[in-house]
Amino acid sequence: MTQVDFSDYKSLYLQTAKEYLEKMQSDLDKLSNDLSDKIALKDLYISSHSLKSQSQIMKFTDISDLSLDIETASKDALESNAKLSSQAILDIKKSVEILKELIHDVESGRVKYENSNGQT
Amino acid sequence: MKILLVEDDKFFQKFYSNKLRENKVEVEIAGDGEEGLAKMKSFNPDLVLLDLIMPKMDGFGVLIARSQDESLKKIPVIVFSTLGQEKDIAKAEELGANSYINKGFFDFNNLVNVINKVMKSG
Repeated sequence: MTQVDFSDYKSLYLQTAKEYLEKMQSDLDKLSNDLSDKIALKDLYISSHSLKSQSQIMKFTDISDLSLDIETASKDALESNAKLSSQAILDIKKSVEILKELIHDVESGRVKYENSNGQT
Repeated sequence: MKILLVEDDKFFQKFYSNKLRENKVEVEIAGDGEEGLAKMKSFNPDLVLLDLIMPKMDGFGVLIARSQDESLKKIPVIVFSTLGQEKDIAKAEELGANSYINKGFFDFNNLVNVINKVMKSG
């Protein structure tokens, strides 16, 4: 496997990750006010999907796994033409708070990333 | 070689375009499916790397539109998949995608192999 120095992409990762979290927060607030807001639900799906994907390549597994949970919940609601319940929205809001802490850990250096050979 | 990268995420736009350009590939970027279709016509790439989940028009919409256009059908398309998207890959292949790459696990050699295989199969 070709070696990749992911440290070159850390600041870009953090910038975009924070943007996605802000967007997810905004969409969850919209959904709290209107459970039938399909646009907010779709945007939540896209943001969680994107955060999952870039966290995966950076090997931040906790962040990608939690983002996948949010992606799956929003995707399932979209595909079944259902609404997320109020409880589900509260649960996802809690997950977003956890994601913020995890991103902060990355930013502060408490979480290291691996290069493509598995070395930190 | 000319590759059109249809990808809404800024991180992946930067990451993949850098890696391709480091290897002398001419790269054009489109931020959503609508722009992707327009650039497939104007940029006339040798190959398209297509994300599936995007705003405005998603990758499935691009594949459907491509299947209805004789000139676009000739351009091979490799879709990006990620963790949890196995059903989406199957759907993309049914809609005419030539292959897929898991964009979450970067391996440039594998990317090159998939591109070469798709280009050879015409």
